[in-house]
Amino acid sequence: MSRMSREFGLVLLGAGILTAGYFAAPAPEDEMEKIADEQAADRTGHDRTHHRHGMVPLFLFIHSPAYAGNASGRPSAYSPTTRAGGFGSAGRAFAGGGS
Amino acid sequence: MHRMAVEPRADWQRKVEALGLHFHTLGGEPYWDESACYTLSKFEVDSIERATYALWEMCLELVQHVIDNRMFGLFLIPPEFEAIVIRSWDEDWPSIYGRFDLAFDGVGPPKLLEFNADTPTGLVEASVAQWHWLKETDERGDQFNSIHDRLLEAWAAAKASDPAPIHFAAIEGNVEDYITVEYLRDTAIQAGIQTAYLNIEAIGYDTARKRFTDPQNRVIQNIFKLYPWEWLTKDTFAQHIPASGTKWIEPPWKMILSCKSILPLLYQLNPDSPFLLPAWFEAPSFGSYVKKPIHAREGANIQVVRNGVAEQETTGAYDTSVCVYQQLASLKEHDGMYPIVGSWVVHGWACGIGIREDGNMITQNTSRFVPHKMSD
Repeated sequence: MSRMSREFGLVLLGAGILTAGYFAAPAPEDEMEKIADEQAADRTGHDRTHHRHGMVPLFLFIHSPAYAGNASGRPSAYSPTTRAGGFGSAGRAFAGGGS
Repeated sequence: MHRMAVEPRADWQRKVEALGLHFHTLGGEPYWDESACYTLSKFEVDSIERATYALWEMCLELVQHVIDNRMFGLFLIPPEFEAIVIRSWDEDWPSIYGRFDLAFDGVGPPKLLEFNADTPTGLVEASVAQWHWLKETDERGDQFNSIHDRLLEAWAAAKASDPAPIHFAAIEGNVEDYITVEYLRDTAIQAGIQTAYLNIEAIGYDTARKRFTDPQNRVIQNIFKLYPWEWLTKDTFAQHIPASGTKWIEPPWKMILSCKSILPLLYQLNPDSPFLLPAWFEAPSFGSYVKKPIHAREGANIQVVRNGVAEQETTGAYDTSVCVYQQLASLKEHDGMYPIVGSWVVHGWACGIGIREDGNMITQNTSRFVPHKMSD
């Protein structure tokens, strides 16, 4: 019922792949903390640190499993009849969609 | 259920970062906090497991009830989305996961505080980080945690029902959401599914094909989105969702369960359940209760009323015009902290817990995640 009887592997998060590669621009480790803190403040309305800066993490995923890896980190190939950007605006005020 | 002070592992920050948990510290204070742990007996774990299964069953019955009685307005589901809610339910579109937040004192039955049915986070912490913590600190120790295994099963089942690739999307620039989605994509890959990640903002709509596409111009047939339905249905592209042919995970019928209107309705339908607190659509005229906006999250915009007097309130940016009211749960204090048990249901399995604690009674997204283990 409860016991996980075997060790398990992680394809994306394990082996430091994600850790090493997912910022397009090098970011100091402590920037992660600031970003996470700002996002928490945005959601709760509490600014615990009073840090404010304009950096937004740009994720560039370097691992490429069979299908494509990261569809956001490549040059766009939208067709001429395609528009993007129609999702995301309702969530912008809240920083994140998790609960 | 007891809280124990324990010695954090040396260099614990690097250890959890290696598992993807980069958001372990907020404002200089640990969010992932391994200076303590909770121990639970087998009896207590059984109680949580039993409650989780019962709540899940009640939730599924509630969805059927809402559909049968066309009660969509109670959940602020736009009329143009009613058909896709029904279709996703009737066609059994894949549902991967959800998290019940429970008040539990270790003595009485766990009580449902809310159900994070659509976009639950805290997943990497519960499934991966606390398991590695346990194996390193107590190799023979046990934990209520088969979340990872059940996720592999859930994706395998999703693949069996539809082998097409699945896109994974989160809002741009949020570390926690991105890591959560990448962990879920990880488990989908391990289940043999072809996947791709994209930001929710990068989803395109091709007016010629009338399909959603990714930046590589590939049609999005299936998509897991860590982006709540109540936001999706407000965005510009919302109008294209019903006829787009895209299957969404979590499915549209989760619009019902992710809304706090389920709390009074669950209580109306199951007034004798030991796992439910009394809840109402109107404010009680007396007593102690919690006022919750039906679409707020992470403990924002909550008001605690004790004996008719507002005692505590959190801020936030959510719409507070429509609220529900739930009897105030008695939370047991442990060393000055109030723990909430997040009980995961994955592919219908009650399969593990993550415990969040805070110095006050409202758990918010800055509340600490504390690992747990089972006592002998």
